[in-house]
Amino acid sequence: MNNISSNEVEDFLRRFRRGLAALPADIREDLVSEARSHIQDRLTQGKLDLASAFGSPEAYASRFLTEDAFQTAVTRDRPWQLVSVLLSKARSSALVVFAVLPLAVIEIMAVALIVVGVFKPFSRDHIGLFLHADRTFGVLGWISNPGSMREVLGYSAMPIFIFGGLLLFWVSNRLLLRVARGELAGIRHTR
Amino acid sequence: MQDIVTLHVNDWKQQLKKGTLELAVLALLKAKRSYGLELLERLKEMEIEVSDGSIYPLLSRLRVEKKVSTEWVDEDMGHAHKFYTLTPHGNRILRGMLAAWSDYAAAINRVAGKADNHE
Repeated sequence: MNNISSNEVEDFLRRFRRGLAALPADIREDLVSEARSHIQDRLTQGKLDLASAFGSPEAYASRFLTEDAFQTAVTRDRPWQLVSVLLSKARSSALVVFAVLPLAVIEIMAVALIVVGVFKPFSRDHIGLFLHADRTFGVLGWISNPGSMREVLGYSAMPIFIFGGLLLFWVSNRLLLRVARGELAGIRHTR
Repeated sequence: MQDIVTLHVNDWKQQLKKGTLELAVLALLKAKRSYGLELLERLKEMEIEVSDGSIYPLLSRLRVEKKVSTEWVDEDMGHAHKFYTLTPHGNRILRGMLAAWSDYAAAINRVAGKADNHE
């Protein structure tokens, strides 16, 4: 059990440190020092089995990274970071396809709506709600050539687009946060 | 058949342990500040087996959530150890968890009592 050489220990710690590269240096070194302290104690006890205790150093490091990524994403209000973490670390591809991606697309559309709303005064005839001659829906947002379509919102498109976009963004971000919290709980429970 | 039963029970015990490990760790830290290996050994004394690699990600999370604070101590132990101490915030959460656990355990005991009566 305890015929582990100091080279193996150092190799484990080196690979563990490399696996934690995404973490801030102070936290990374703190975790490596703690692992080293633990290993020294186990060596003294004659009870060190690195493989069964920790698995591979890369897999062990990923446990800290995944937890940290989700934790950071749900506690700091950074929507793009949240989307990025969910896309890269969600456990189920169905969740990504049917929840994360659609909500991310809605967030992008919401941002586009806000931008279009802000630019309404500068592009009065190209931004708004455009209806066809028979009053059926044509385009919402920006259009290069309205043709025979008629814009019906006028300058009220500006607050409608900006506040509508903000509301859409807020709702989709809340839903993404809920998904991320569910994932975080799931990750903790399956370990 | 017995093997399948044992397998199911062991799997359920694993899930139960995962769900309650945080409570156990916070409760032990309330009694005494400890470092990782010391916590593992105290848990083992209480017949809660946890692998070496499972305790540190949990402790790291508890630190991020400010339920525990950490301090490196290098006194009379050969080398430095990272000690975990329950914070006032962690203590409040522990009290809530203990109350919830007590209610839930009582409810499960009532259910289990009914099952026993029908054996």
